[in-house]
Amino acid sequence: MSLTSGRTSRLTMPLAPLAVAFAAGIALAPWIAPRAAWALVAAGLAATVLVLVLGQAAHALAPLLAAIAMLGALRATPAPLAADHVGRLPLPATARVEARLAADPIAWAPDRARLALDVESVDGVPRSGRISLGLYGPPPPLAEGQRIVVDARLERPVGFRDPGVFDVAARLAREGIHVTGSASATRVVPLEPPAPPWPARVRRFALAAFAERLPPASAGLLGGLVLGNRTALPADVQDAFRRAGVFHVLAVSGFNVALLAGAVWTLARAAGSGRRTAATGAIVAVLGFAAVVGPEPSVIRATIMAVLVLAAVLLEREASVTNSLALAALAILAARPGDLLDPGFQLSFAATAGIVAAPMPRGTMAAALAVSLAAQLAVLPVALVHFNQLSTVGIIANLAAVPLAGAATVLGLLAVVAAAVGDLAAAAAFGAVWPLLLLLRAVAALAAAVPGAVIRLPAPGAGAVIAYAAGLGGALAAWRWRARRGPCRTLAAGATLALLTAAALAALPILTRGDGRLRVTVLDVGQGDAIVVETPDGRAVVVDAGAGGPWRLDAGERAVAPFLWNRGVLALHATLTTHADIDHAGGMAALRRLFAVTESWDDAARPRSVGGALLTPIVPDVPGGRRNDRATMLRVEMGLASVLLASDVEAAGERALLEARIPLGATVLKVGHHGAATSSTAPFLAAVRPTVAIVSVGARNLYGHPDAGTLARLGAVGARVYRTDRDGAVLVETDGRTLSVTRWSDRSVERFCLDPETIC
Amino acid sequence: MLGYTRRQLVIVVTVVAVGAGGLAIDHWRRANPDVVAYLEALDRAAPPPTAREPGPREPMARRAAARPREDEARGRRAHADDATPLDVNLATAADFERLPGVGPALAARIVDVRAREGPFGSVDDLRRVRGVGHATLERLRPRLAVNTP
Repeated sequence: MSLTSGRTSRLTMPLAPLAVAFAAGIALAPWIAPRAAWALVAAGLAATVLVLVLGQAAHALAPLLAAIAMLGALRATPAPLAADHVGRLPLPATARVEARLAADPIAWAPDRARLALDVESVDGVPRSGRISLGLYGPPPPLAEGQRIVVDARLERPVGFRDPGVFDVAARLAREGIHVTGSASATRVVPLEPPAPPWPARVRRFALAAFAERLPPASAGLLGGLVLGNRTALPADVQDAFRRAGVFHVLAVSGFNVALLAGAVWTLARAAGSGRRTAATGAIVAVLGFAAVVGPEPSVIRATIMAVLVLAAVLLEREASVTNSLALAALAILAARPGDLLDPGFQLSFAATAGIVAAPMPRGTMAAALAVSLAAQLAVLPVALVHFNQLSTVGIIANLAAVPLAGAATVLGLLAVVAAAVGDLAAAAAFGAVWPLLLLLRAVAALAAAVPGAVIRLPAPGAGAVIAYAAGLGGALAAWRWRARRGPCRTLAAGATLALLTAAALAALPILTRGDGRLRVTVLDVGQGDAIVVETPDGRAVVVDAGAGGPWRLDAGERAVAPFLWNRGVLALHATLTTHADIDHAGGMAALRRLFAVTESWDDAARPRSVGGALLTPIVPDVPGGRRNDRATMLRVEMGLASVLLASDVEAAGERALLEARIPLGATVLKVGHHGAATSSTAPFLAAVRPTVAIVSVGARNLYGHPDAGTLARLGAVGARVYRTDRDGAVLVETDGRTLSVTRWSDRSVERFCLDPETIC
Repeated sequence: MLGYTRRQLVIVVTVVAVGAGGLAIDHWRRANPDVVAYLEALDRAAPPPTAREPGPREPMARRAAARPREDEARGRRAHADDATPLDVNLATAADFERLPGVGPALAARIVDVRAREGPFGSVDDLRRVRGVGHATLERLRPRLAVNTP
């Protein structure tokens, strides 16, 4: 990298283009073959040298940047797993794992914890690699660095594979975790007493002091403010901060680091020490703080930038903020290229870049507003892409929340020191910080209660994001050159055009709804059912929303809602909960909270015509039957295509429907009860005669679904079987004459012709 | 004045004021725990009224019975919650521990057996768990249910 720090460059921020090129290379890595990348690196460097030798230094940048980009692509290309990597084991398997805790356990519920383990051996054979292990039952006291042995069930991670839905397996793979496991907490045997390293001890001491001296919710909030540790913060308070657009104060960022460095600097200077001593003290404090809070991308970024600025004071040089930002990006991406796709990395760098680039007006109030506005504008696409979230109150809420959070953070840091000093000091510090925490919570709760505080929108595509960035860049350039009329006007016009393009591209999924086709999507929500029916006029009906509720992954919030937002569905026409089992009804509460719903079809079973499709709820009449047999089926018809969603109805319910002579014939059948042996009896299948059968079932579920006999019966009536455990979401699309079915896991599409008279 | 710079004075005064204010608030906080509890609860969501919503076709009479009248509910929230049968395939160890005569060890064993061998097909299926005999089962039966497949 010696080429990169060339001081001869006339650029004022020589590292920024290099960082951008490196990041672009990482983003393009999946489409670049390593061999081609190596060739391009060599060619780029050769061209750079040639141009320099020829004395054309001005033209050396382009080939150099191309070479750097290819280096980024090479860095991001995943290396094959080591021969002894735990990911090479045949899985799933039950094994005795000896490992060392890579971090303190994360206790996310009283009887649930998650461990990051560096494996040492599996069943006595030396192995390497990191796994993520879920523990159930009250966990024993464990600490970072401790060696344990545990009997665990090892599996490959599975996330939800649905269009527009976050896949946890993909994120784990980016972190180098290819194996997850689960075990009872009683099966964990520590091989040595817990001896946490000093950063972990400091962290525990601080969190214990907060919990001891503050009411629970306030203690949780202070843990988030000071250490970025939100495990003790109740979910409803976190939700209020998210809705208010001030969630960033709960993560450790440059804000905390700057406050800490500033506090140490001010105190040291006031105590009469020189600039160099104060800067050294601040550097030590910042590095110690980073060790305590852990290696989040935002922490590393802030630490690198703070150390560079303070080192510039030590060396009596001018520090370029942009340059340090670029160096931080290069360092993080070189060490962990997968972080480029991490929301935390993107939010941190986008917000900082926005604040650095934005023009700062004079006056405290105006400057605060400008900082808030710049950060919000810069993180807007990141928040939309990852969270479908546009905060409308954030700019205002931050004006109140950020000073409060800053004061509480400084006092919280002091309180940790005070708790170590003595009781009286601790009482004073925690007494002083508590009203600030209450005020901050009040600000978040008030802002979150504003109607329309958060607007949910589809995630913009790459085109929209690039147009938006170009628009912001153009607007900044226009502001810089506002003294020169001509170029300023051109730039302003270009920026406006780019921003309008971005808005149009982003709104496209909403504007293009209702193309006259009926879509039925059986989502992959693990074990459970969640089905979205999109009628030809663009309205959406949700039939069941997967598992949900407290202490479990809420499929309604994590899968169904983002799928709908990214489809451009911002309100629901109707919801239908087929029966009250948790794997069908659990996610519905979250969905009803997140969407405006016009109708509920839970009680009345009458046919409804919605935008050219006919939707008929069917309720089996089984007096005194089990809950499953009284579940509501839904029949969806359009032209020659029909879809029967059979919920969890079992043999008794199927018999009742056949005896009542209810028409059941359908081209597509959502197979009853996750493909269990007790559903899909031969007479029922003979009556339905499905061309396409979709089994909504979780991989490795506890119930043994789907049953082999059921799959054989489906094959016997000539149905093509799709399974959400193997195929991810299954998307059915029809115009009434032809039918296409997409397996989301590999995006493969199969077409079926429904009209025997025509060729299609 | 005393040889301090203005800046040093500002810092000292701030630290002393914050410390004294903190001590005063701490003192007040200890004297008025109920006001503290009230303030702490202001931004919290109310707990959900019932743990499990009734099925779509459950008779209206039962549905009404599941929601005790407002004045009763205030005093007897814990009892109302306890009356809802626990789904043995969904309950956590903490839920089991709330049952009479179930300690942490037995609760952990139930959850463990469920995770290792699969869900319980019926309430009687709990006999699979070491420590659940006839007497325990009959005592717990009114509190338990199997709603999941």
